[in-house]
Amino acid sequence: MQLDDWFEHARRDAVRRGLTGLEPLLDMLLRATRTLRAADWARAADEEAAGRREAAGQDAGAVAGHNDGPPPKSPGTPP
Amino acid sequence: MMVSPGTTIAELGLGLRRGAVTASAVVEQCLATIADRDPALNAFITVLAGDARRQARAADAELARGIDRGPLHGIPISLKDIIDLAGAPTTAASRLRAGHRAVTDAPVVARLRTAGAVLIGKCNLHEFAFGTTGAESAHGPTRNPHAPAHIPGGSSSGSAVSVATGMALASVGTDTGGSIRIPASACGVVGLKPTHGEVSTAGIVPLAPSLDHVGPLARSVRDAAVLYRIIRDGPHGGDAGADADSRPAAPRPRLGIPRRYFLDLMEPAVRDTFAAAVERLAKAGCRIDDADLPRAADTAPVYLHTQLAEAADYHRATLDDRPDEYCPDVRLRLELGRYVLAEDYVRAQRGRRILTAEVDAALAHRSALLLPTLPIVPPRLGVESVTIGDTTESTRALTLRLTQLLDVTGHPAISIPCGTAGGLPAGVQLVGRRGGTERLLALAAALEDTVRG
Repeated sequence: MQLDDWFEHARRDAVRRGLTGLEPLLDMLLRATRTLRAADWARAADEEAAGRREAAGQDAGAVAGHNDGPPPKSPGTPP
Repeated sequence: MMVSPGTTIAELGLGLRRGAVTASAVVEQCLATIADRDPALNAFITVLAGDARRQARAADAELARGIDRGPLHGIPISLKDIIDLAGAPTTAASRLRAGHRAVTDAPVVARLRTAGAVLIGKCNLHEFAFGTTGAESAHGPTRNPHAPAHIPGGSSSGSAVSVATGMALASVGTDTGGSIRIPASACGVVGLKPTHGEVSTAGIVPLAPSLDHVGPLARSVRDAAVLYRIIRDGPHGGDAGADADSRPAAPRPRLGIPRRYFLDLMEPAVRDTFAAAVERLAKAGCRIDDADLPRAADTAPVYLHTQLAEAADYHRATLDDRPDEYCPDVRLRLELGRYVLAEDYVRAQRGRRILTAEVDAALAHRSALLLPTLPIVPPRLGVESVTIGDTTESTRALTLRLTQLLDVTGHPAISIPCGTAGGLPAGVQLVGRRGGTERLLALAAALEDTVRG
């Protein structure tokens, strides 16, 4: 899931549940998740997983936005 | 023989066996200290005075008949109140646990009982062990015995205070992100987090099972070793050779300081105290160099995604049914865990493997890693953030900063007092190889006097 989509969904859900105090914590979690996904080992694993899906004939486009950075560069990735 | 806050289990054991003191007299001294100091410090949730007196009388009677259960025979020990003790409530410092009464002992408690320990009471903690200050508890905050306006560290806050003040000789706590070592450092006692999985967590309210560790808080490294072996193996758990790691000890220990990330953000007073301890160790013959953990900065997000998700899993039913019974901030952090995405939890587990390999590599040719336990002087209760230079960071993040890596990777780590910083106790950590807790304890015991200065 794209992080911006996740954050917006989580923020709205927290407000709906009356947990307005959660917003600054969600902000903190958003920053932490960005850091987690940007780690070199996380990106490498994401690219490897994308490669495996491609090899299995799945639509690589479905995962191109998986890791909030640039999409994996591999042959056959749709523009 | 009077029991002072500095009396060790070894010294007291000698006194008991020589007839210089009885277990009953020791328990009375501890109960008197609790009566005198605990109204101000709030270390205990339940004081088991009657049971403790009975256990002490039984211990004295056994010693008189020549029955000796070993080093904890007749020694008053406190328990963090998330550990089940049959017949007593396990409150986890939460209103949610009102009315609870444990039916059976947790295995660690059963081992202490069989070893003849006197279980004197159950200690206050940060609610459900979910915090590092000891401030959020249904039973009110615990206070630092050296400066009651300041935090004692958490979550095993009452355990550390009980040991530092002489309310108990030692305590059993838990450590998920640093909850043994942080209060040990802040209160000036020794705290050991063994290798992950060595000590049973059965009968203990979990926080995040893949990160939870059980271990001792004590007045000396040797006392911590005694308690560790007994909660690990039972009454005859005195086998110091039980390590998976059997490599011979180096004659001059080689200690690596992981400067990157760990020493980047530190209050000047802590930096000075740590530097002085390093200098003493170098003068004592330790070979000290820099150890690099290239991905150390990834520790916090890896820890956060693991701990939040696992804690939210345990609490999901009560978060839905009885949310108002949590302390407000603990409830919010538990709710936060429900928003961690599965894919990010899985990423965090990959990160754990990477970080574990880095710590393993840093220890491959060293006896231990050496770093401070806390980067800050324990702040006043209620202080939510601390500014160091140009950086303002939450108290929670700062208190976890130097400890959580070793919960993520499972390496054993011990905090030893190293003097004071800003007028309050400070500690240094020694980190050993996985499966090498005994070797770490032997090294820590050899270096303890030098570290303390």
